[in-house]
Amino acid sequence: MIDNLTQALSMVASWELLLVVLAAGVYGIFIGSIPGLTATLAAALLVPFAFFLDPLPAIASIITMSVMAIFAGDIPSALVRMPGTPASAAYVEDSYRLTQNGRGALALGVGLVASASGGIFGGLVLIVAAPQLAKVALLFTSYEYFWVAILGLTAAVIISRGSQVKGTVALLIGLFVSTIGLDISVGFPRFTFGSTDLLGGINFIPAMIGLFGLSQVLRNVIHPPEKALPIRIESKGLLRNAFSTLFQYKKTAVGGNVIGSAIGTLPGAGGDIAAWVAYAVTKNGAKEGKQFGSGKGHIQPIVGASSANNAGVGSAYIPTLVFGIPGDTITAILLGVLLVKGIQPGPSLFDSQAPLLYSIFIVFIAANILMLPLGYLAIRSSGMLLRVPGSVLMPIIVAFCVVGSFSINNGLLEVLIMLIFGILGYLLEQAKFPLAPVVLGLVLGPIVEKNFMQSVIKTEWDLTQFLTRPMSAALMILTIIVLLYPLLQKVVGKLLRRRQL
Amino acid sequence: MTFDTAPEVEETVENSEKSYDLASGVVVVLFGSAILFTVRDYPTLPSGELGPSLFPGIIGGLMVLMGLLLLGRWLKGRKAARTNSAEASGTAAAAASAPANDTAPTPVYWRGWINAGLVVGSVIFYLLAVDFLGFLTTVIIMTVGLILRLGAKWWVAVLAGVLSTVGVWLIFNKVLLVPLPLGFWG
Repeated sequence: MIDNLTQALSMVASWELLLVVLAAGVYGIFIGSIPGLTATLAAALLVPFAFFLDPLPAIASIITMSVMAIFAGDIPSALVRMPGTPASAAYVEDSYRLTQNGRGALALGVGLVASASGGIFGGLVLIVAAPQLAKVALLFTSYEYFWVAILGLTAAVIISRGSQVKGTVALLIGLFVSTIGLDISVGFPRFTFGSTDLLGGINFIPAMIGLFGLSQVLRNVIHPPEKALPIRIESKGLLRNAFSTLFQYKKTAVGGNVIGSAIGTLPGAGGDIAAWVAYAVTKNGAKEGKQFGSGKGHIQPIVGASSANNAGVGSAYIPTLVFGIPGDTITAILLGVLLVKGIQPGPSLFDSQAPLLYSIFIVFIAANILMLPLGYLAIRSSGMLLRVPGSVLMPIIVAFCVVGSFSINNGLLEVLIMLIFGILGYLLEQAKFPLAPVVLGLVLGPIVEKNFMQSVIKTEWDLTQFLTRPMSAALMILTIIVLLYPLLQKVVGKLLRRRQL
Repeated sequence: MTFDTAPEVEETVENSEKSYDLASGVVVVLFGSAILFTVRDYPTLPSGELGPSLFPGIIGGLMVLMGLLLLGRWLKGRKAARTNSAEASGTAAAAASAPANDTAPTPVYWRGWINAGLVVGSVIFYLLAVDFLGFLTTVIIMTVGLILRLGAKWWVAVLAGVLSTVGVWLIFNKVLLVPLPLGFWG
């Protein structure tokens, strides 16, 4: 342990890494603070760079970027009443009203320190929980991996906001795309229509760039966000006030941290869902809960939800690193990058790559500490950040989408894939289909199929093994519980309402 | 996921979704059927069991099922709308006063569709032209054109387009060592 830690420290302490982390942090704040550009878009556009870096800087850049982007999403909420990323949407009304009443600096400052504390908490949960879970995961065989992947897919659909039928369709689209190319059991080319370029399957990275990058550009040029001039805020004494407010609402903050970490661990549920749940819980628990989102605005829900969304960022890495099942869309993209780089996340990572793992832990904590100065500067220069005109930004993002997908394989096929997925992503979002399940299907599809086929070929189609192995059975029961969750929620809700009558 | 605390928001989301159910239901059913049709003559495992067609088959079947569910929802929504259209206008008013969702639809104008067409067109232009014109020329034409179209002044467009393209080229070609096409310059 100590050995691994010192080795990790020496890996982390390099100029290259420091530079990458700083650049990724500034980039994350920039993208996160522009309404309509999400943290997932930032991750998708970062991938072509990460692709060329060593594993540690690649992972560190994505971690730092996402941590900063989720915080920076608070900035336009407070200044122009538009969340910068969906993770800030829950409390946009409270932040904006605070700003209108001259307390914008407090709203943003509290968002910053709550985000940092939530991020550190989520990081600590990751550090403590991941190695323990990895010990369990070491006992897994193809049967258990099949169920873990199925559990991930199920959770992705059940937890997604909006219609579960549409979530399922989105998942099926991702799963379908993952079957394109040579199949793993007998090497038969599926859905390639005679094209040799498609034998290797659809490249994950251009698909992500299209789905989250180009589709957002299309959305932005078709429905341009209304121009709103940011309100100026006075940033004097910002951090001190923020810390004392956070201390005042320390129970809310701890609650947000715990909720965020718990939800982030679920596959497919990221910071945005964590923020909504924490907001709801804070609202139910507070004396003035009914007035949240109205009047002069309240700081308490910001403490709860803003700490939850950043805590979720950290704990999303638990299933990613331990089982290879992404916890949210950003970790799904990271997982895609790791697989391309030949790193297979999973329990063996905790043995064979311990120093790398410890370095990831260190980066997590460091990124959240770095958030304080970078975030402070971002709040001070927020007026400028929000004045970057979309007319200039969108075409540059298109250029990045094109060159990013081209550079993966130096080929035009990848650019075409990016274009097709961009249009697909726009259409899906317009018809209110969630995009996150598409990514999870794309990443988890091959894992489900491979482990299933391996298991059945090994035992000549003895399907009972999936049910009778104790850990398999436990995972299956867990899957069924997740599947029945919406039903349970309805029944319990009805019972509660009846009791109130 | 439904949140007990925000039923009114959930409701409006449900309402606006209904209008897409018909189109997406039809597309999903057709697509699922196409998958099932394609995999019907895929080879089996040497032992005779389903192999390459198993997973796509399940996916296609589930797609047909989900598409039918969407169509069912559309039918149900239409029936409900017909029986109490008076109430429906009530919910529409409630929807208007409900807190703005981050995905609330804004009115679409022709301008927007033309812009989107140009964004897609610019990527197609890249695909067709880059081998001949080279990366720098192609992307400068793309970015300057799009920036102009989106309403910036001409000198802003030229400056931003050229600088960003050269920046991208420096990062990818010089730092990351991606061989970007030179076209006839090379």
